Amino acid sequence: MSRTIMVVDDSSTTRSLVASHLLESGDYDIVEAASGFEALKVLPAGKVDLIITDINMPDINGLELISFVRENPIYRHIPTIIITTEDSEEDRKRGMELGAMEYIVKPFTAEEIRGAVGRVLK
Amino acid sequence: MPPGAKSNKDNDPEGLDREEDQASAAEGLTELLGFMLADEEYALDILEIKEIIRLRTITAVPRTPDYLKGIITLRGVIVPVFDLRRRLGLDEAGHGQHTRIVVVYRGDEFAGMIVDSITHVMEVGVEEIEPPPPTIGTVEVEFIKGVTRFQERLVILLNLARVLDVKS
Amino acid sequence: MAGKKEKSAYAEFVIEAEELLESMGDRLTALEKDAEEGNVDPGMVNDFFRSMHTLKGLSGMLGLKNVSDLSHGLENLMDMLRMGKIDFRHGAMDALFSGVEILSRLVARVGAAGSEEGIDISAELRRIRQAMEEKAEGDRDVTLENVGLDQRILETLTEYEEHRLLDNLRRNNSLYRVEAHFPFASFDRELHEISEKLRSQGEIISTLPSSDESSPETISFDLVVGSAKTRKQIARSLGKRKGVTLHAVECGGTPPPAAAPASREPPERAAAEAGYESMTLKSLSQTVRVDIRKLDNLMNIVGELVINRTSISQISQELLVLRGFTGLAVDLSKGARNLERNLRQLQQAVIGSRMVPIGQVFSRLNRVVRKLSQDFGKKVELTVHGEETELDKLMVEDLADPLLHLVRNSFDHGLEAPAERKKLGKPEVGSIELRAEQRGNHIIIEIEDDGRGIDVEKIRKIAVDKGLLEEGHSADEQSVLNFLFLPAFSTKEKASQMSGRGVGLDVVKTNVARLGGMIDVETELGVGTRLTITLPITLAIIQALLVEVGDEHFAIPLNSILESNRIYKGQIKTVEKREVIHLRDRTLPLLRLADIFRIGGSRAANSDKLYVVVVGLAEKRLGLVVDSLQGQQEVVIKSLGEVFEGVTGVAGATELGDKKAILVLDVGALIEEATHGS
Repeated sequence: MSRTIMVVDDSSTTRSLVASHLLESGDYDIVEAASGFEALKVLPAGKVDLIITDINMPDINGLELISFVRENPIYRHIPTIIITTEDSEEDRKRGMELGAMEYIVKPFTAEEIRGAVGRVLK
Repeated sequence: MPPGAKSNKDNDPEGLDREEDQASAAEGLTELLGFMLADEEYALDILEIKEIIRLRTITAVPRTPDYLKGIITLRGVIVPVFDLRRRLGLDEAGHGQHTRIVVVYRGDEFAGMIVDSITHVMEVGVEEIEPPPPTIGTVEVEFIKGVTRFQERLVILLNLARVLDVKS
Repeated sequence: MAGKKEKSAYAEFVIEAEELLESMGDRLTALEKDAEEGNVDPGMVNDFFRSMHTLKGLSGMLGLKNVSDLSHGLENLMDMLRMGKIDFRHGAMDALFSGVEILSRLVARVGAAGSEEGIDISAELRRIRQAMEEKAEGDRDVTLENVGLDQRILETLTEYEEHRLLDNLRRNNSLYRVEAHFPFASFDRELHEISEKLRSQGEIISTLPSSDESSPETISFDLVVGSAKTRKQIARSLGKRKGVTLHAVECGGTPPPAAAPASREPPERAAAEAGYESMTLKSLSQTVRVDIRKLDNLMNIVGELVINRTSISQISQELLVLRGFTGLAVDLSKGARNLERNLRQLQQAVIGSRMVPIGQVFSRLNRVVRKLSQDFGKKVELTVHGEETELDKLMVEDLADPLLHLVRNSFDHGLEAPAERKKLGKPEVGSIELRAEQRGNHIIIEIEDDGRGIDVEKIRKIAVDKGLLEEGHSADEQSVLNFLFLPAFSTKEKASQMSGRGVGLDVVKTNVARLGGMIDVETELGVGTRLTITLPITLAIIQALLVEVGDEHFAIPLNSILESNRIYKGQIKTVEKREVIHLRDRTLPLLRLADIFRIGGSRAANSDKLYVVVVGLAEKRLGLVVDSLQGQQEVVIKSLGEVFEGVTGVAGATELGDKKAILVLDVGALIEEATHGS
C-alpha cells in the first residue's frame, strides 16, 4: 500500500534527487511535475497523498499551488511540504502560514527528506 | 461603460463598479461577419476570423464524427475543417461556386468551417444583441450566443467555442 | 575519474556559462542605460538574477570554486537589487560589470586550460560587499493596505512578488486583475497566450489558480498586472476572449508625482583600472540559441518553396513542349533545375540546424550519476561514447527523461553494492556505459551496465502467475523479457523490483515509441544488462511510401516498412476471424486499411491480386493491405492538431505538391490495434 508523492520543481536535478531519496525506501510512488502548471494538470489524474513543492518557479509559484490545493475541497486534505533555499526565509514563512506542514532547505540530505515525509505521512 | 465614454486610468470609478465588463466590450460596437447556411443568416465576430478562402480539396480523416470534414493545408499549416451544416444539425447540401471556408482561430491553432456563402460585414451595437430565444429553427440553442437584427433581417450569432468543441 | 571525462564535462559547462555570461553582459549594458533614465525593467533584473543563480549552481556542481564564489556574491547583490534593498548606483553597476568580466575570464580559462587557477577574485568579492552596503534611498511609503486585492492573492505572493507589487504602486502604475476561466485541457496554452499579451503591456506580478469541485473540467486564474497603460489599452491588447475579464484594482489614495530619476555619473569600468592584458572578447563557442518554432517555421517556408518550385518546373516543361528547345525555354529549364538543387541544399541545411549532439543529454546524466554515487555510496564509473552523434533537438529533449530513467534503473537495481561486487569477484567500481551511434537513417543508443542482470526465469514465473503466459509455454528469452515493458509488469505489485528492474519501463517504452523508436533488452544473469533504443534521426522529415486505398492516399514511414509484396487472394487464410498470410515461415496478420478506415471503392476488396506492405516495430509484424503503391517521397510530417487528438492510426499529415494534404499512418498504433484487437 504505497503512497504517491508529487514532487514539483523546475529543476530536474532537484526532482530526481528528491525522487531517488524517496524511492529508495520502497514505500512511495513518485509523480514528478516540472512546473506549477504541470502539477495542476497531473493532480486530477490520480490519488496524490503528499505534495513536495519548490517556491520559486516560472509559471505559478509554490505558494499559489498550495493555496490552490487548500481552496479545492477535493484536494484540501493533501498535505504539502515546501523546498526552499536558505536565503528565502520570508517565503518559507509564508508557505507555512498557508498551511505547509514541513519545509526542507536546499541542499538537503536523504534523511531530511525522508524524515519530513515520514512525519507528515505518519 | 456607456458607448463612447472616455475613461482615465487613474480615476475610473465607473470601471471599478462594472467589474463584469468583458475585456473588449469597451467600444460598445462590434463587427460581425455574416454568412448563409440553409437560407438563414449566421454571424461571427470579426475578431474570431482569420481569413476566408475558397473551397479546396479536403482530405478526410478516418474515425472522426461526420461533421469533421477533414483537413486542408493553408500555407504549410494543417487546418481541420468542420462541415458547419452538419455540426449545427442542418441538412447537408452540395457545394457550389459561393461555398467558402471561413478560417477561425481555435486557441493556438486554426479551424475551417464550410459555409454556403458569405454575405457581408455588419456593425452592430453590443446592446442590440439579444440572448437566444428558446427555439430557433432546427439549430440547438447551445450553439447560439445570441440574435440580432440587421437591416430588418434576423442574424444568428454563433457560439464559436461550442461549435469548435469536439469533446462534446 | 579520467581526465578526458572531466574535460568534456567542462566543455559543456563552458558553452552554457558563456551563453549565460553573454546574455548577462547584454542585459547589463541595457540595465545601465535604463538605470540612468531611472526606468529599470524588473523582468530584466530578475532574469539576470536567475542567470547568475544558474551559473552558481553549475559551477558549484563541478567544483569550480572561484566561479561559484564570485557568482554567488553577484547573485546576492542582484537579489538585493531586485528586491529594491539597494539602488543601481556606482558601486553596484561597477561590481556587476567587473564581476561579469572576471567571470568570463575564469570561464575562458576553464575552457582553455581546464582550470581556473591564476585569477584572483578577492578584489571582486570586496567590491560586491561594498556595493551591498549602499542602502537604497528612502522610498515613498506605500502599503498594500488599501489595495483592492483579495486576501487570498496577497497571501500567496512571494517576497519578491510583493516587492514588485509595491514598486508598481510607487511608480504610480495601475493595477489590474485579469480573471480567466479556461477549459482544463488547454489552460496552459491559453494562459500562455494572454500572459504574452499582458507582458507586452506591463508586468505580471502573480498568477493564482483556483478550481471548483462542481466543474472539474474548468480551471480559473487570477492574474495581477501592474502597468502604466490604461484599462482600454490593455483590453484592446487582450482582444476578445472567451472567459477572460479585465478588472481595474483600487490602489488607494491619489499618488504624488513620480520621483525624479536617479542620476549618476558614468561608471568607471573595472576593466580599465585592472589592465586585463590577455582579455578576449571573442566567445569560445560559436553557438546561437534559436527557438525551435522558428526552425519549424523555416521548414514550412521551405515546404512552400518546394511546392512553388514544382509549378515552375511544370511551366518550364510545357514551355519546352510548346516552343521547342529555344533560348528562353532552355534557360528557364536550366534555372528550374538549379533552383531544385539549391532547394534541396536549403532543406538539408534547415534539417541540419535542428540537429544537436546527444552529448547534451549524456552530460546531464553524468551529473546525475555522480550525485547518486555520492548519495548512496555506490561506486560507479559512467563512460560515454559517441556523444557527438546528432539528433533532432525536439527528440533530444524528449529522450532526456527516458534515458535518465534507464540509467537510474541501472544504478538502483542493476549495480550491486561495492561489498557484494567484491564478493562476486567483480571490480568494486560498477560500470555504466552510454553509447550513441548513427546507423543509416537511425540512431542507436545503448545503456549497458555490468550489474546483476535480469533473471529471465523469475520473469517467466511472474508472467505465468499473472496469466500472461501459459504454464509450460516455451516462449523464448526475448519474448519473456518483453513482458518487462508491459504496464501490468512495471506498476502492479512491484514485481519488477524483484526481477531487478525499476518501475516505469512501460512509460519509457511509450515515450520512445512516441518518437518513432523501439527499445530492446539483452541481459545475462550476473554479468549485466544492455538496453538498446533505436530511433529515426529526425521526426520532422521522413522518407515515406505513398499508397492508395480507394481514392485516398496515405504515407507510410519507410523506416517501419520491411517489404512490400503482391499477393493473391488465395493466399489469405482466416484464423480466429482474422485474415493472415504465411510469408517466409511466419504467420503475418493482415489489416485492410479500407476496412479499418471505412474507405469506399477499394479495389483490393474484390481484386484477385493485392498489395501488402509489411511493417514492423520491434519484434512485431503486420501486413497492411492497400490498392496500389505510388512510390517513395520525402515528406514533412505535421501534427493534425488538437481537434484530432484522439484519432488513432494516424501520426500526422503532410502536404504534397498540389496543396493536398495526405495522412501519415501511425504504424505503431496500427500494429498495437491488430495484435490487441480493436
